[in-house]
Amino acid sequence: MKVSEYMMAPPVTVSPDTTVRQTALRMEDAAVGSVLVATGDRLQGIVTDRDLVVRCLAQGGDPDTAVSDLMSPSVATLDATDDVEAAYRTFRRAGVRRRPVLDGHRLVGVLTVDDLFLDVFQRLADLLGSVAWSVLRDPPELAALRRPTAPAKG
Amino acid sequence: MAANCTMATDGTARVATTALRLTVPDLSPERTAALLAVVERCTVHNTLERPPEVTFDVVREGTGP
Repeated sequence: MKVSEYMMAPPVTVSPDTTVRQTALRMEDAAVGSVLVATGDRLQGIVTDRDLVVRCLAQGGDPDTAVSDLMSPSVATLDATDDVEAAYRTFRRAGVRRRPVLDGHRLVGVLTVDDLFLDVFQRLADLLGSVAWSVLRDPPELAALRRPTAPAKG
Repeated sequence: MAANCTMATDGTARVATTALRLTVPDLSPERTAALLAVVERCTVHNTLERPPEVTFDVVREGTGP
């Protein structure tokens, strides 16, 4: 499965000249804690709600400051065609909670730890499916006996 | 088996519901009942229904078990 199948697309973005105040409102509107800063579909950086607080408000900064002044410009990214297993490894190593996703140089989405958490549920469901299919492979008379009072192993 | 999750809307970041759907061929009521009985008693389902107690521990590298 590819990263593109799990990512949120399109990502929530603002342009570099967006003010801190407008960025905070954008986060509120989209119910997200971070936005990607982009010019068109070219990724410029990322800014989180924590960045707004620590790098602006806590410093007595001006809410009309351009977000490009406090974004993190160096952002590690994933490729839309990366295998999701690579994304797991990346998150495990990097200690980050979100990664922009590119298709070549084009910004196409964002993948978060929450997206992978939902994938974990799908993996649990896959295991449950295996248990179910094992019953379907049984002869009908045996399947009828599979209504035990004891817990099923698996 | 497909899992469809919804996130909580109470302000906490958590999965609120998980709906699991198994698409099967035409089954008799007896086999459907048997299938549900097995699925609902298996470890995966039991653990989803009743989450394990989770503990966190922080140790310095090289000092943990």
